Amino acid sequence: MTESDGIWSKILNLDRRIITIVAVLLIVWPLVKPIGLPIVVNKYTYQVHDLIDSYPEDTVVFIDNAIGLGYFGAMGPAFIDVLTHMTSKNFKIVCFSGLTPEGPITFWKCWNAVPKELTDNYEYGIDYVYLGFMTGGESTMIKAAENLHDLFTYDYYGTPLKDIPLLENIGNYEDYDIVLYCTSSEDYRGMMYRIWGETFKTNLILLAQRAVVPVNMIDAGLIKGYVRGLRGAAEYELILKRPGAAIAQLDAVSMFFIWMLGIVAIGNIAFFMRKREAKAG
Amino acid sequence: MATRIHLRRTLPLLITLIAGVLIILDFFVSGLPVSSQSVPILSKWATIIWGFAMPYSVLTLVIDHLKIIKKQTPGRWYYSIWMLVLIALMLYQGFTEGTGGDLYTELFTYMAAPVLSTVSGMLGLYALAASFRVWHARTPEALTMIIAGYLVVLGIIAPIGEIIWPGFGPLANFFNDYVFKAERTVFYIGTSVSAILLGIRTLLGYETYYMRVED
Repeated sequence: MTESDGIWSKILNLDRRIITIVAVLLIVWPLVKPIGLPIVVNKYTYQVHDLIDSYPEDTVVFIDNAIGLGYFGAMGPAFIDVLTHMTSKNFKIVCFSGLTPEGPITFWKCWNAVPKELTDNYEYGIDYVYLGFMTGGESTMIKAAENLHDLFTYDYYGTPLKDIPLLENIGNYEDYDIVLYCTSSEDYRGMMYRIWGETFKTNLILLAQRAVVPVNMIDAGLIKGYVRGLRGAAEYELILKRPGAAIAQLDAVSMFFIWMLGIVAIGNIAFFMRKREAKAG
Repeated sequence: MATRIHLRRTLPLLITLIAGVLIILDFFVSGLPVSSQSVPILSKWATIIWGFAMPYSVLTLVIDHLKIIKKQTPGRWYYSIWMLVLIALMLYQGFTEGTGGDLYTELFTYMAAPVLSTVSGMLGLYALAASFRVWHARTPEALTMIIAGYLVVLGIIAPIGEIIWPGFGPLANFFNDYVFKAERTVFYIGTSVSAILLGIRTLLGYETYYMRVED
């Protein structure tokens, strides 16, 4: 028997399509019939919730929504949950998209997904405003912190900023009680810590996709809390006692990753068994 | 010849030096008239230059794809036509109705969003198949990677991990809060010191790659 026709070689050469089809089936199954796996809430998610909870009504939140469309499934629920929490406390919301041109699309998708009973009493221009996308990276972000009215002349709908009542007394970092940065990208995170956390000492909350929490930044006080992707969103829904899209999708995520770990284990066993057979033979 | 060298090398270096020194002065010395007045202007210039970069990149993209169409490069030229049509459509929408226009939003929502989500999903499935093929514990380093991967998935990403064994969550958090933190701290200090050195070298004219001038 040659090395290439043994059982372990056959396993190692398993058709990619089989792996993919099983994965797709495992993802679809819990979406059709939810399993309801219990979720343990992480302390970092609690930090975000508690920080938002500690502020009174009419707190001003400045949001940079940089969620791209490709990762909306992973990041959208987290943003919706945090918006739900903020609107339940009647926070004033000023949002723009500084780092992705898809920001306007994802912002409105999230805003429209917030429960209607919470947004019904929100009046555009008085309780919330969306300023649209602005290119420029770091220099734009600094300008947003120093003087918003210098950066934008009009809002998303073309209304002059001077005609928007909400922005009459809001113009720079001193007016923002909380700064929320939602991102599906790794690129600009350092810049956000530098500008909002270090230079302007604002309460920066991060909503990002990365599984590992940037503990250094939290310890240094550069960010006050971190919601990590879909898992964080599901945890947030649990804290708010409002089960939503994230909890439903997390079962599918679990199944996908269990399959991934399973086949990696099978691949390793087959790899070493084939090696042993080759040595013995 | 000497004038040309000055224009290509000395002038950009001088601009870099002046801009860099002004920004450093503004950062470390507050209230200095020279820097406090000039740095906001420099920031505006940076925004304007950034603004120019976008049309320039669109222009080079269009020129490259026009070349492909002209040459009728096999298997590519029709995609180039399709891309140019879409660029023209988006530009037209952007200039006439802005980014809030119905067609612009619909193009994003019903064309870009599904395509981008599909690409992300496909990447996940490719990573799955690739991990089966190549994620083997050939070396101690590879084994460490596999263990770390298992820990991240079972302790952080997938709640099923904590059902299998409740210790996965605390264990992953321990690694996140201590091991990862130590690694990140070293990384941040290292990259920060390197960035400072690179900045000094750039200001002094030792780093000229951004001008494409070789020593």
